[in-house]
Amino acid sequence: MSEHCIAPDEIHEGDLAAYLDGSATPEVIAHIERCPACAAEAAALRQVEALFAAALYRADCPPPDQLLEYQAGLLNGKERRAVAQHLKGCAECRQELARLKRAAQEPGEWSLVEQLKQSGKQVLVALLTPAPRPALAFRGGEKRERVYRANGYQIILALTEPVAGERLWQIEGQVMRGGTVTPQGKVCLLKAAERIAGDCVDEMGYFALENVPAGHYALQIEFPDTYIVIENFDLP
Amino acid sequence: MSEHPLAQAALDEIVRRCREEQRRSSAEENGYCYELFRRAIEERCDEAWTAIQQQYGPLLLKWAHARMSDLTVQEAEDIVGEAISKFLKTWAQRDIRLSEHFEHIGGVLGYLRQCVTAAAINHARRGAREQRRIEWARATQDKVSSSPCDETFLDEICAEEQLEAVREWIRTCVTDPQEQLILMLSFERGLSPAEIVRLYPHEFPTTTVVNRIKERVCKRAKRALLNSDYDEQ
Repeated sequence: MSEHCIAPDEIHEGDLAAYLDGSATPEVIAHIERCPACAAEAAALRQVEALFAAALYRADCPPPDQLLEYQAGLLNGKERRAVAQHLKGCAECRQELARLKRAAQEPGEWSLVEQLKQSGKQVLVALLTPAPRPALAFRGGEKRERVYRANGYQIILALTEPVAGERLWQIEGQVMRGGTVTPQGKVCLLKAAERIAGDCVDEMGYFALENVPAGHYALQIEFPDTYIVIENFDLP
Repeated sequence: MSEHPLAQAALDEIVRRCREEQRRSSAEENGYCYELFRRAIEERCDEAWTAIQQQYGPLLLKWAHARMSDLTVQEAEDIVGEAISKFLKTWAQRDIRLSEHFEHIGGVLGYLRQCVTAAAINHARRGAREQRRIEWARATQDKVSSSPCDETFLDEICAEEQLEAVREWIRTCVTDPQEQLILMLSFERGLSPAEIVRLYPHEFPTTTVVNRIKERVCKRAKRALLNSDYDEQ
């Protein structure tokens, strides 16, 4: 403490802790309000208390790695017994262990492509191809162009970057097959299997998805007999 | 020498066939992907590991997003990185063969998926700790009548390394059983001094005793942790 307490006889060990706990006497509160040194000390102790609260949060719980190794049967006898004992009294760790078990038992967690295959339709995975001319990618200074191809289909996407202060993208697209437009498609943007946005492909092959937040998506276009999927569609 | 039937195949061939395998259904799986993992783990083959990261990276990202849908792209990449380290560490530490645990690529990927889940749980715990630090400081602020303290520390993200330094300090510098108990009751279980006195009347007969011990430990910690650059400890 750079400054000294203005009246050391007015304050004793434990008074600052009581002050932070809200149980200090009016005399102690009055002293701290008058004394810059004690006020600064109380502020510093408040930081320490908050650090203790964070550092000791679930301090006795096994780290997730150890829960994983316990679940996988990779711990030695002593470690296994210690984790088992802890689990008896810790509901949070039991919940986390249940999550780990479920993760191991998810062979049926199909990818989007695998799910769509169940429909009986042809499923094509569209892959990103380099833009034909580098200048295209920066045309207008605000749009990025991405071209995806899948078995004769071509999907051209023009991505308008978010304006300053926002994180919402505007997406315009066109689907073509062998140089001709392909109408009657339904476009769906998915995030972790949840539909985020959608549109219909118009008679000119165009579609638009508006105000899409940055994130990791899959883009799916459904035609009467075919699905086209862009699996890793990232908007930074 | 490995006993696996594909052990003699060229790595390029293994990588190519594994890619084909991944595109088909698991019924057509012929062990190329499993062999790729076996070489990465048992033979510590860096090229095999690079191929795995290229091939399975997008899948791991998908798993990360599926477990925590509000992740940013960077957070998801961090979780995947942590999961891969975890996966590798499991085998490196134990020097066990892949085939002792998994007979099929499905089992390997299942464990990899668990590694992603464990990394996601770790991420959630870190978030909860940070939330607790901020809530604790705000709750304390609500209890005091004036506002003498600097609020900027609430806006700073507290790195996990800092919290580990605090835990290490507690482990090494708080050896008195009464102090240990007060720390546990106050900051781990969140009990007030009055509640501590009620639950432990023999150890702590009054709230004054509790507050004295608590303040003593906090002042020592302040000198050790806040007045020095404990990031570098």
